[in-house]
Amino acid sequence: MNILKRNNVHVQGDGDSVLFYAHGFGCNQNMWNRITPAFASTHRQILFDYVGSGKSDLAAFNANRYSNLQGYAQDIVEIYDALDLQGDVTFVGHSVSGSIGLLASIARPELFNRLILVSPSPCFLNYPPDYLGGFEHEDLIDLLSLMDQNYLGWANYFAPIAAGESNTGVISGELSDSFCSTDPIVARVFAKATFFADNRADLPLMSRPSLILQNNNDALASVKVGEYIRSNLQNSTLKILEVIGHCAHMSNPSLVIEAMREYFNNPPQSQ
Amino acid sequence: MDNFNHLPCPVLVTDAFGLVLATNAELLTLIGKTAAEVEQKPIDNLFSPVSRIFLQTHVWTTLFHEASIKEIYLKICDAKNQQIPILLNCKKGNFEGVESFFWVFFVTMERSKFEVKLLDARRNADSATLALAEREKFVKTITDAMPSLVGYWDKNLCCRFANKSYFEWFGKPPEFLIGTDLPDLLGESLFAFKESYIVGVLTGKSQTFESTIIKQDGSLGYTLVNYIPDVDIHGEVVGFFSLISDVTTMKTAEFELKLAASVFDNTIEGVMFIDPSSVLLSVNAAFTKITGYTLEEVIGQPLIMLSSNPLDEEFYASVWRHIAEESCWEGETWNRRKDGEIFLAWQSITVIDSAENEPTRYISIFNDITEFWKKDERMRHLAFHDSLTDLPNRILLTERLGQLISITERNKRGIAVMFIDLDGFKAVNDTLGHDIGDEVLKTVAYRLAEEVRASDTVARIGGDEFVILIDNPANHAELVHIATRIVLTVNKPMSFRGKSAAVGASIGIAVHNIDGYSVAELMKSADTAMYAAKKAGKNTHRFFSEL
Repeated sequence: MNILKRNNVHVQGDGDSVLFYAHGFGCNQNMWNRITPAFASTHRQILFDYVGSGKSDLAAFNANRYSNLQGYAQDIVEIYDALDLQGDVTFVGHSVSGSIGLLASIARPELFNRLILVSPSPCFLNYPPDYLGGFEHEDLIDLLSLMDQNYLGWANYFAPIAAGESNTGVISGELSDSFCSTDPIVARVFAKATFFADNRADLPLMSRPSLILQNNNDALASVKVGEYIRSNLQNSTLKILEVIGHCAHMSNPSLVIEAMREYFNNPPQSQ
Repeated sequence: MDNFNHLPCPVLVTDAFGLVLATNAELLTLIGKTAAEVEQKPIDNLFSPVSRIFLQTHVWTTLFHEASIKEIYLKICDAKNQQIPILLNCKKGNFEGVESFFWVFFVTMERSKFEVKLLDARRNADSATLALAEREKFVKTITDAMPSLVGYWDKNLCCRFANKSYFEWFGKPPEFLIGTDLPDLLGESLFAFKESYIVGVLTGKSQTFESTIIKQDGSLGYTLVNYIPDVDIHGEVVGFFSLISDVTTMKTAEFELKLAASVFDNTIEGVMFIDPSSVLLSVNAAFTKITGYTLEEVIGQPLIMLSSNPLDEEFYASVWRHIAEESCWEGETWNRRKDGEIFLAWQSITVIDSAENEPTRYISIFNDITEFWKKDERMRHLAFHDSLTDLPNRILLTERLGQLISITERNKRGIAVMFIDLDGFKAVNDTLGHDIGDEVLKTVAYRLAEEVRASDTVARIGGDEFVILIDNPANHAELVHIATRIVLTVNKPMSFRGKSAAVGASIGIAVHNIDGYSVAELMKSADTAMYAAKKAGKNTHRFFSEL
């Protein structure tokens, strides 16, 4: 199994300082292409697609492994190992990849120098009164239905004609080039893993320093959620961006770049 | 913006980050809000929570990347906070000199209902397909686990299904076999052999037959073939199932079994199968021939029914003891036929090797050796008797005398030896011939036997020499009496074919413990006494002790 091929890994530039970018649910590595030019001369930058997303090898998709965020964290660790990444490596994860990076760094803390979490949420569900992730359980059930309705229209819909041969449901064929096109079965598995996850208890287990970038008007990850993470994550810095929506690195890349540079220039006091 | 109000569908404009800049009347009517309530606020607020997720994870990411998106289903909240399904298109553009996004919605109440149903149907179809696949997988798992070849051929003799055993038997991969025509797979000669059965099953009749086949590895295989027609609801045969079992092992075993059975049936030895309680389980034809009992008459009967001496428990106990120790026994047994006749058998009983948990069985094989035994007895008789007179010969006489001596030493009893030599026998032989001489000897033998008790022994030890052993004679007077009677009886005239003959008898008598102790001493003493009788004038007797 060639991990680099499986995860469609791309390495840009050179240098001792490494930036490792992990995309969020529903997208692929291209979501970072407004950030990467800013660090092209200073960093070696690693981009990849999770198995099932973008141009990864769909044949490697295993519904069991990827029904849990640990499966995605394993992708990250495997890529780190395949590239022998160590030393000055910064993990940059958007949304659910914040949680995935969290899990990976707990499993292999020696690989993670620091983490930048872009619009993270350890849990999208509401657990009133202590925690409000923003959504009710029923909402998320509806999300799966909405996804199906949309994929019915514009995604390639591969019927699981497994003929009893596969235990995962056969997923084959090429996804269209459309940016967010995805296989509906894979998307369903990823959506469930993402939106039903609750990684709040994992926050205190992480020992690496981190920067939390939270947007001040984000329907998916509120400032309150950012504050919750800040107070539960040791050695973390919270920075609120004046941004509407969930994808600051796409809508307001300069704000994100600025925050990252500031963080690199003023590293937190290590414990 | 006024122009937008003429559009027959809801429309709005946001800035590059999603803040609502302008709305049209259709939109405000749909959501039941004023422009002031909506404008300068994020577009997310118009949608249901779920739609907000989709908007952020899919719609905005696409818009940032590709500047437009089409036909996305979302749910917008109306005046009563009901979720209205809408289809949206969005495209980047320039609004009043600012980079903006133009959003157009189509309310799709009816269409959505239909599409929800369509989606449900799709899901049902998917789960049905999945269930079917599961079932197929299940069937495949079962059939692959079978050692038999399970296949399905359509009416054009094209393979539609074949299990793992099929692939292995023909040494072909699944993709080769499925879709292959039966004639191609079987080859010309094998297909020709099976053709009539194939024609048969395609007319709707199940077929069962045996077939010999050369396997991929070159070995010869035997198969039992079942063709079962597949009939559709119109009663037409659309194909057939084939079930082929490799019966090579069974065939070989059957052959060996037949061989064993033919040995059992045709051997001249009687064969019995016996259970541990000595009950007969089965017998063969030779058994019936020897004993006269049929299979039906003896099954379930105890083995002892055949014995000529069923009360000899000690003997039978020793036999079974031996079997328990050595797993077999061999020896002679006296048995009784159905008609009551006694016969001697050379019989073996052997434990049959049995698998674990199987009860022990015994096989007994026997020959009727009565005739051999009789011949044997005759030989023995000839060895110890005089062929002319059938009297005991010198060997038997010596043996018996020896026996009597040994008995006498234990219980005080007497023995007398009478040595008789015929007087005038040479003359008879010379004048009347050997034939008459032989007749004379036979007559004398007969007469001597008449004069003694059954316990006494009359022997002929030479040409005209006889010896009588008198067992435990009462006294001297009795011996005198016997000797006198013998002389008289020998003297009686004889006539053969008109010719008369006469002989006399000279008798010497020796008594045990008086005239000798051993066989040799007693014989010598009696002989000496006989010569004394001859000297005294023949036709008389003398006691050795009185010489």
